[in-house]
Amino acid sequence: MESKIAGELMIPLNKYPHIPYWFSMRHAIAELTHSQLEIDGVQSLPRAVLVFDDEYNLMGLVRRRDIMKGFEPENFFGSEAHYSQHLFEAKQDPDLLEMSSERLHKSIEERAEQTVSAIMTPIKATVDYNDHLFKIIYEMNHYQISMLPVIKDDAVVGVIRTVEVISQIAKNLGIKLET
Amino acid sequence: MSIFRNLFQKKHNDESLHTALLQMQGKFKNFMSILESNNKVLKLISDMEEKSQGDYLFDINYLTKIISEIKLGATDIIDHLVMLGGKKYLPLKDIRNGLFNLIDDILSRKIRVIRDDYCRLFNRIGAGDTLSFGDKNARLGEMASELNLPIPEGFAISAWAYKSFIDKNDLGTRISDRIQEVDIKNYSDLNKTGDEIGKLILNSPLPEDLSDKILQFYYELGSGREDYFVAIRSSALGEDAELSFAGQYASFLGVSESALLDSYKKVLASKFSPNAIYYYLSHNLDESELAMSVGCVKMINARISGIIYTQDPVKPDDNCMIINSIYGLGKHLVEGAVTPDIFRVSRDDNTIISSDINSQTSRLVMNQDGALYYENIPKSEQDLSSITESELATLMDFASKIEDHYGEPQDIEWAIDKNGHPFILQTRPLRLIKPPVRKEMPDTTGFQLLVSGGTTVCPGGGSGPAKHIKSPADLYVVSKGDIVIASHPFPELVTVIGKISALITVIGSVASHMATIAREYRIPTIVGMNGVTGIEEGMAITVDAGACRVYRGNLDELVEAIKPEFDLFNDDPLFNLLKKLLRYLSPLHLIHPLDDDFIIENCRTIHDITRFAHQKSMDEMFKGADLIKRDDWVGVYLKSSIPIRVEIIYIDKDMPKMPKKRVIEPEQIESLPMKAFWNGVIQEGWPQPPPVNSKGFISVVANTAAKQHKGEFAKKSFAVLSKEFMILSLKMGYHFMTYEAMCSDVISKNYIKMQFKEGGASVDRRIRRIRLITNVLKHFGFENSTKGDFLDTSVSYESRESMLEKLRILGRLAMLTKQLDMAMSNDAIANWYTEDILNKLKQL
Repeated sequence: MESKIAGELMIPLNKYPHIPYWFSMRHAIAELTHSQLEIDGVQSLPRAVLVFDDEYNLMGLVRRRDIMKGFEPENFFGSEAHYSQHLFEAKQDPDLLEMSSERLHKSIEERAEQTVSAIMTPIKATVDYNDHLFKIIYEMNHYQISMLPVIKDDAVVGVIRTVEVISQIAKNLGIKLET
Repeated sequence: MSIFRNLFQKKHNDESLHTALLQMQGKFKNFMSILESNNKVLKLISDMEEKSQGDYLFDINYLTKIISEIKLGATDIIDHLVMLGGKKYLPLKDIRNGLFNLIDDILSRKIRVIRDDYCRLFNRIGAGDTLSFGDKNARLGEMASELNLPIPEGFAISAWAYKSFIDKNDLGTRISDRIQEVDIKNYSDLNKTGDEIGKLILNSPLPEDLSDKILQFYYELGSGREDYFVAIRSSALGEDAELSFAGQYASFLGVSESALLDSYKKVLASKFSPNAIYYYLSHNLDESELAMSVGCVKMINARISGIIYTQDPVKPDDNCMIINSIYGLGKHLVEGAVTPDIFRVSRDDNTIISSDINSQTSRLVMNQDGALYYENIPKSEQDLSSITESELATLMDFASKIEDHYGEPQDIEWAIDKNGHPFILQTRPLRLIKPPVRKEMPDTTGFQLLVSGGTTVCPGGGSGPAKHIKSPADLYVVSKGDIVIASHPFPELVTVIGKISALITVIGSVASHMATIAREYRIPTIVGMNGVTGIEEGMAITVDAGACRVYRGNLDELVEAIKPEFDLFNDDPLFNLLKKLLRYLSPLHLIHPLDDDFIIENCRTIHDITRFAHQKSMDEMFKGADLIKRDDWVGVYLKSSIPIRVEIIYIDKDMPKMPKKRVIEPEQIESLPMKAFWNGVIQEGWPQPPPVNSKGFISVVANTAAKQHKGEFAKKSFAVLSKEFMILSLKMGYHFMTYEAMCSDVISKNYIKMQFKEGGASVDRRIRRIRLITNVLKHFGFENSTKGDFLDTSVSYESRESMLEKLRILGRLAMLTKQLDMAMSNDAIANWYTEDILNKLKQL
């Protein structure tokens, strides 16, 4: 079985979108919607944006889910909605239904201006450039994450996602990839 | 650097601080002097560039004056740069001197005489021989050697031969001294000087090897015969190239062996005829370097001869050639002594559009002894066309070939001998004048028309007292503003042409040498105006040369209305001179300060010198302040909510003595440009620090570019300010910017210049950010020059208010693009950010 290292599987950093921590959610959304990743001839939109500080240290990443959270209703009303725990109630919330589209739009605009540092997910783990596939799988499972920064000589040189892992496993199983 | 060090040493006393401050202010004054001279020189160059577009009138005095001002400015720039930055800039002086020499040579049409053969056959002379044989001879040689057109057999005597003659007899200094003393406005003095120099030349012997060589060529040309005749004509270096010199030098026809060497000397002496001296002094030429080559061709005993203009010089849009033809030798025609037959022929299909057959009563011919005389034309022939249609067709064919070869309109002299063989005798560029755009004409019904008729040589109008001139001897009485009425356009008229209002001749054609000169000087001129002799001497008259009319009285309103726009074509000699000068003034070769070739040695024009000096003076100012350690700084600090420590030196103020006063609030900024810029910075603000819980995040340097610039990150920002001026070095993350701005109430002094370089992200992202900034700044009228991740941008010539607003925008942009390179992963996102930032900046 072919055993590739993280450095061979990763998306190089210069191909992956990243922004400084003080940029807004609006910026993060623009990055996610304007950055086409082309890996092995396949184009896709990135699922996350890396976040760095002003000295170019990696701080975290903003995933689609983080952005969704940034727009949670609780933030519209300024109270604890506990949305994830009271899904049904929220759907029935008469205030939400009656909210004017104008107000909704304004609220989205306002929320979109909060900085990504407020909603980003911290980096829980990294893998080394020379780490093998199993180490990658282990780290992803252990921390329940779908993306890992790849480190070489104390610098972030790329990222590796579950999709790269699955693709590699598929290759090992002889499953032909659609391009 | 010691100035800065002294200034910012912690342990100093007030006196040493004050001295250091004064020294630095002196240094800053040098910097400001460089800026001022730079600005001045660039303005002068751009004025010349504007003139080179052909929309404005200028004369030689304009060129002389502006070049002298540019030279002063360039010298000033270099002197102050050396004072500011030291000896390493001294080599700029050598480059400047080299450029000045080239410019002076062009301005004085100075041509270095090169060593060459004394004599050479025309069929061995080509376009590349102008420096040895003059433009006229080289072109004639080219007719034979390259176009296979018939020219008279002959040879040319080189400029080197002339120089040998002058040197051998030690004439150079004696002639120059005499010329220096001449009063250009005094015809008698011109005449006297010309005579004296002429005698000097005629009385000096030719070097023996030169006279031997001339005779040897003469014999070879005659295949041993000694009884044939030649024509000898001038071909001074520079003649016909930049300036026409038309008819200013002598020609001799029917010259035999015995008169050959003397005639040669007479042609050389004609270089110092009163009209020739006037001509080159009025064009600021240096006579000592205007060497003379001479052409010597077998005499064509012409049955007919004439001139072809391949376009109508005053109506170039008519798309026709003009052929002038007279009986006999052409000398008669070019001296303006006869009105020729004139044919206008379509350039499209060679059809004759019009023919104007003028009665010719005499012709110039050569007898068997080579003597020229006028003989009467039989009455039966006087009113017949001098030239046949097939001869016209042949000449048209030649003319088209010649014009195609040179790619520009030509003024061609031709002759057809008694056997019907055509010859090209000379060709030179034809000066064209666009007809003036007539403004609203005053009502002429009340004006008293005295005479009408004739032909326009140069359009325009003039008014003044009528002055009748019958011969060169009458020229003494011509005063400034006179309208000269001459019997014919004789060459000596050139000596007064600079001061008269208009010129009218009774006979003559647009083909005379004088006509060429009149167009060159842009003097309203009519030729062939018969009725003009009846105008009373001294009467105030007004000439409308374009309409060929003369009115009684000084009609200034009319003169103003018919004033030509002088949208002259590019073949105007002064225009060409200006364009030649611009080659050493205007092009910019030093583009990007970070280029390896941004070095002294590559300064090839005055513009390069200004660019180099400006950049280096900025660097010197910044370097001085940059080397000071943070703790040594005793300038003032700008207190701000933004975590950038900007250290300020006021150049027009004393330093605060008390340490507590060293911190100033943004409201206390007294420099207008700095205040405007900083307002922009504050408007966008600085990002809040990252959340406290981010401490737990993994921190690693992201890429090698950022690693390399780790040290840069800690660099300080500083500003050197005065009330209206700012230089600011701003370090912001991994990129740094330098700003330079002048915001005064004099629009022409105002400018902003910004340089932006580097960054922490990969090169492709840094380049995308530069592109974004460029696109944004373009919207605000900045001119951008980029190379990789380096941007050099500027804006100038705007009001103070406009400049301050632009500085505020630059301040905002500095904040909005801080580490934006990080986000520039692809072109699509870069475009999105461009739009986003533009939208933001458009909001107040």
